[in-house]
Amino acid sequence: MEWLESFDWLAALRAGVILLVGWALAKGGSLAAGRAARRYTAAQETMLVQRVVFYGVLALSVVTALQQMGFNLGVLLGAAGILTVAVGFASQTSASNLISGLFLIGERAFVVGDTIKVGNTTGEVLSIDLLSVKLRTPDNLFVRVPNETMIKAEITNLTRFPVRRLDLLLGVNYREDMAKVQRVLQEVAERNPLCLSEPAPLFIFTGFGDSAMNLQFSVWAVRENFLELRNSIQHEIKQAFDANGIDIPYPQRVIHLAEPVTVRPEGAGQGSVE
Amino acid sequence: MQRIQPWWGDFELAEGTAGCWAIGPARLWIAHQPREWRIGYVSGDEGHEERSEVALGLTPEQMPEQARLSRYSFESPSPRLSLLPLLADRPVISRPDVNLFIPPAQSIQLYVSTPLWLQVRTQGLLLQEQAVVRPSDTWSGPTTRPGGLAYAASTMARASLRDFPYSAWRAVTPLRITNRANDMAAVERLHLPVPFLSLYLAAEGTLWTQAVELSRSGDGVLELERLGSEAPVEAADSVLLAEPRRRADRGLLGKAFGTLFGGGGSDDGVA
Repeated sequence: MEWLESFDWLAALRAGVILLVGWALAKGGSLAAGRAARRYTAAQETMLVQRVVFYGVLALSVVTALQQMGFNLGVLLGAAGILTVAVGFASQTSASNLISGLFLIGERAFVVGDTIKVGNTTGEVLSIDLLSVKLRTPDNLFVRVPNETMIKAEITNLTRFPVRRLDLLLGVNYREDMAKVQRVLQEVAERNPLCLSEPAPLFIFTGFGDSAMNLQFSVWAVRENFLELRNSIQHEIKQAFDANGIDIPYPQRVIHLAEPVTVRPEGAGQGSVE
Repeated sequence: MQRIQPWWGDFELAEGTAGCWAIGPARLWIAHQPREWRIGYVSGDEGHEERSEVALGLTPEQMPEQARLSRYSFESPSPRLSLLPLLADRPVISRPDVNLFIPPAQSIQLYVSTPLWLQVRTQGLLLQEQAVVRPSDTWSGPTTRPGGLAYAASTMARASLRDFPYSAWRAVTPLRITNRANDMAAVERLHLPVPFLSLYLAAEGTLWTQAVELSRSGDGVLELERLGSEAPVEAADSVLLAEPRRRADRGLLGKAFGTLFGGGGSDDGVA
């Protein structure tokens, strides 16, 4: 009861009002800062600016409110210091992710909307947050990759440059005339409107394989058309090879026997085949 | 005699009828069904450069099955529709038919063919726009980082109009390049920003853009000397068919045409 009588209700009310006003200011300030930053920064940096402003203003209002209620901030900060050490040990991973997040945002290796490949995961970047990067994979799964992993991993940004190269690895029969194969492939590339005329398609005779002459045919496409080209050109190459009698061989083995072997068909009494 | 019959203009298709426009190797089918327009497109094989035939009064059932079809629903469609030709929406890159060098203080004349697009409009609405024959994409920059998207012209630039392959789906741009530098200018490829050009129809039925004159200055930079404001002299008694897709002041035009020898900037040809 004594406690109730000594409690400064007016100060508590003032603190409440300060908290409310502080929250409103933080919300308004973060929105305004976001709007201003959007003009000059990428989406994830805007998000970061908004959060810093929001939590900064909110923290200031909490401190002011506590002061109004008569708390000794010095003691509170001292306690917070000890607590920080304890929490710091416990949340090493989070802190590491947080710092990695800041580096990721600063480095700008990718932005929200890019398609990236991290390890075995490929996906569109949904957001770059302080602790993790969120991806949406092509089969519509949500993947959260911790920033610490992102910093250490090799990241491939598939959408940084506007054009991409598609490398097709083919093998043709040893009977085929390589000049004819090259001409047929060039014609297929010329006919496909999604295949860029320049940079020109690249033809490399990569070597003599076990069963086929190996070659690489590389064509360029605008990245939006990459998948469509990948499907259409392989189909067209198959059709053109069939039309021109060019054979893509199966693995073959030629066996030379030291001594001739007699092969007798099943059920045949006579007439052996040598 | 008309070299190319016009496939563009205003047409009337009563309900329950269809029309077929054979333009070069492509065929465009339009059917007027109850409360809707159906537009089908069939891309054909190469050849038939000058073909331009319009057949009206067909039945919708005659539309080929392989046609790429789009449907447009209307409460009460008007039987009138118009087809308009226009130039490509990106720069077009073509190459001269033979390796071409311009010695100092010399000037050459080239004729470049660029593919046409078509628009189908009705009741003041644009229903569909597409290339008559889809040209190949190409990249205009010297490497794969700077530059922009362009279309590759399927024909070579020619130095004379003798035996010129006029086409129902390509327009010709007369291009004069003067070399005012002291060294030889090599013309390997021509990056023509057609979205800045107008389309004209000559009396004999051929399609043209205005003439472009460029000069190569001492430091190798190309400058736009003159961009015709009307049809070229080669296109006698011509009429304007389509305004340019993009308008620009002289500075921007100079920049766009300054990339004529390749190394063009962004998708619209402006560095």
